[in-house]
Amino acid sequence: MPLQFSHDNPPTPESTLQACQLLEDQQWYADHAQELHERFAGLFVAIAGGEPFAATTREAAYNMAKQHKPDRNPIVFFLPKERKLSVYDLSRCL
Amino acid sequence: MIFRGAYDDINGVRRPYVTVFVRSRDGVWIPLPFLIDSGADATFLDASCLQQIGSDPGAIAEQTASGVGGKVAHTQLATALRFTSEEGTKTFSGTIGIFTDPEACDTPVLGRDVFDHFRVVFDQGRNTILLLAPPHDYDVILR
Repeated sequence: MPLQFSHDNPPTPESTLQACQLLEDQQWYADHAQELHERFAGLFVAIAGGEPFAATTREAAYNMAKQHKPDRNPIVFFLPKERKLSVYDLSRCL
Repeated sequence: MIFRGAYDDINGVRRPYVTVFVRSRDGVWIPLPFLIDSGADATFLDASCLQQIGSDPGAIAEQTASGVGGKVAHTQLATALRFTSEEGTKTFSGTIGIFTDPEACDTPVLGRDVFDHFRVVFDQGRNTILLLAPPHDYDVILR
């Protein structure tokens, strides 16, 4: 079954805090993407509380960040060695 | 509800992302940055997510997805996606494709199967990406 809308939930103190932290980390990555690429190209980088944690796998980066920032939900980005112009255009052909 | 994305910029190539929680096989919600791709019919995870999400690619038959670069193999995983904002959460459930070839794609991709449920605003000039859901909407004012 393809992804379908399931339900909405009203905010809770926990979800509000989670949303704020997520936005902070997402924006921190966006603001530092070039610098991160220069330091960690070819690696996965977890962002948590304005700090990067780099590793060779997505899971290792996530776990490292979680160890240092247990109260955060780290977001893991992959930084390719070279960012090329690309067209994904993934159309389903099942 | 308003869900906000962001543009990154690496070597002058800017890409629009939004972070969405994906439910792992163990029921843990893991935030993943999705490239917002208006050309993609469906939402996919890249192969690097397999270990973290907990899917066993050998347990599911492979299928193919075609794109500009040709056909690539993927498996299907039953899961859920959750968007989070200060105004609440919005959840989608069903199956999602996971590329089995690490070279096929290096980031999760959010396709129209999900973001057609939102009004999506891309505005690179204002460095803004918005996914709007009721009660929020937008109007264009002609000047």
